[in-house]
Amino acid sequence: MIGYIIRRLGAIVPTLLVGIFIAFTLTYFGPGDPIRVFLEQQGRLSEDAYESLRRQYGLDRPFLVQFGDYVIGLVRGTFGKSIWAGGRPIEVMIRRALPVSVQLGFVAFLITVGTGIPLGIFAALRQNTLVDYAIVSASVVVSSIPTFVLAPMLLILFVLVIPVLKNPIGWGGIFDARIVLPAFCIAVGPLMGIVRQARSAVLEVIRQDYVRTAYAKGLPRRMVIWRHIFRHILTPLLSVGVGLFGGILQGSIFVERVFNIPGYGALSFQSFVARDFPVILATTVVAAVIAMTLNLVLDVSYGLVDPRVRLGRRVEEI
Amino acid sequence: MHRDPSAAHQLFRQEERSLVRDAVRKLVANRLAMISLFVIVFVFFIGIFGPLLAPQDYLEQDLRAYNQGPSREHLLGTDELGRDMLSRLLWGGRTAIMVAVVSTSISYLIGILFGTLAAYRGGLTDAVFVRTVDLFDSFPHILVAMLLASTMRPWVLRLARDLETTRGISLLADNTVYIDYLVVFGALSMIGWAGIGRLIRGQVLTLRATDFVLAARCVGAKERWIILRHLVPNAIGPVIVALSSSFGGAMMYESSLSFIGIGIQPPGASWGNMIVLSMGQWRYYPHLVLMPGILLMLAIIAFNFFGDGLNDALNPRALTPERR
Repeated sequence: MIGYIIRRLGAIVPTLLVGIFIAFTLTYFGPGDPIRVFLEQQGRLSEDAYESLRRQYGLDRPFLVQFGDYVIGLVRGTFGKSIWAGGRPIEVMIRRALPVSVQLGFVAFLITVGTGIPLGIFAALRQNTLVDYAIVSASVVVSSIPTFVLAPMLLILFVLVIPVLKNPIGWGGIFDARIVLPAFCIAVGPLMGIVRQARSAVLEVIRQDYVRTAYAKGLPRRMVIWRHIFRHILTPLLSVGVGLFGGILQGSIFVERVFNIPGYGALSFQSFVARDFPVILATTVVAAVIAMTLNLVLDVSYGLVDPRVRLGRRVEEI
Repeated sequence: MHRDPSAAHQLFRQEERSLVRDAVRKLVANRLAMISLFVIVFVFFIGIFGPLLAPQDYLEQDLRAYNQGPSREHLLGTDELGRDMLSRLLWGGRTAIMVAVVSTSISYLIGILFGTLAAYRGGLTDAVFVRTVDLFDSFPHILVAMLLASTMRPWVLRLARDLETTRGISLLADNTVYIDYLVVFGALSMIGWAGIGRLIRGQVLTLRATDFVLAARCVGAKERWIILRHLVPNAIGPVIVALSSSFGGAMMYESSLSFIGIGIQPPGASWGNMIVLSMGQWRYYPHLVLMPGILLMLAIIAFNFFGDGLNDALNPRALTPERR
């Protein structure tokens, strides 16, 4: 187990380095010379000022040295300075924003999993009936609506058409009523994937002999579902995990902008609007690190959930 | 009682069946897929002919008539700069369709080419391919698209300016719409190809071991011939099934990028940037947010439902529900 984790970490580090290198190169060469742009905006472009500023920010050194410096900084937990926020250290901005998004994302995660899995099971138990059809179609519909369309639609519905909410915008923590709409908007995005995965997993299990045996020996339906079916759909469900993270991240980028929530998604959004490339780079890298770590955790937990899985072998091979 | 033996023969004769004919019949019987197809045809119609039908110039501002509701002059009202909403919606449809078709085509071409090549050659080629695909998949797609779009744009702009000064070729015209298209095509192709490549690689891996490929090799067929004539046509089924939802996905990513302000830039029209422009005043003029939003939503839903329908029709064993 520990050997497996170490081997996986050994594979993650180079992948991550290559990814960071590509992202660094893009943000380095893409936007053009930041010092020149800055000086042109200030209207005092001269060769002297240009050279001295370049030296001051270390931009006159070779590209690879700068990349190395950036990676060393990452390991130490510094991400550089934001241009837009007047030279504030990016790690401070991220440390402030990330907990907000984690809370919001967690609530959204609970909603997605808490509705998606039961709906998927329910649809499978009534396969090819109107109920099944309605659940699957409805999940396609809600997941197809882009977050930035759903959010204003819900706002218009609950503020203008049915005036139940007065001030739905802002952030007040998990136990604030204002979290309901944004969490819901994020949650429906990945719902389709969960419902489908749960449904097809149940359909696969439900035809197994041991399920028939369980019914035959007189176990009540509830017990069969809970004890025999539910346990076996956990493994296939884990494979949606990473997609789920991507969906929640994608949702939070737009939802936090629309609902004015000071989280990670809003920070990322703002950095793209302001073309604040150091922050763009940092938010992308942090999201990738989280995604990869999550991937590892999920792969390890395959072994915990399903004893048939021997770690080190790919799940598809079984 | 005399019976013509051929009549009995007629009675039990089965109609000819083929995979395609069965699939088409199943698809036509699927009501939801047919409604979706209707919506898709409608969206393509807007994309192709919309700008010709637009009653007014989509850029013309009428600052005395901003944020208006529907009227005879402006059938769907005007936005906050007094531009005709109907015309802008039609032009936005052109953007959406063009991005969906071009970026999906590019990413499918890249994915099919590299996926087939990797699976057929195996060894180092395959290893590099799989690593690259894993790399792309480990970064959240929306962030990759955002990163690419935001960093490529200034670079492409500089390139276009250089071209203009050195060769006199003008891509910039009066606004940067063509540059925006290029940037969005590039960004979306880069996130789409990995999934398709992985899909087709799996298909080709099983095909590679079949006897007919071995036979082709034995008679001395060249690699290019085997790939283009034998492997790709046989492996392409699931890829075509994925096409419909890829269109929907590309439309969603385009409008997402435009919503953030790194896709199609104002004054160019995209449903995404129309939503963000009117977002600030959703309390007062909700129709300005709703119109592009509902169009976008309907288009994406239709593409996804049609994709499901195709999947059911072509892979009868798949576990999506039977639709009647």
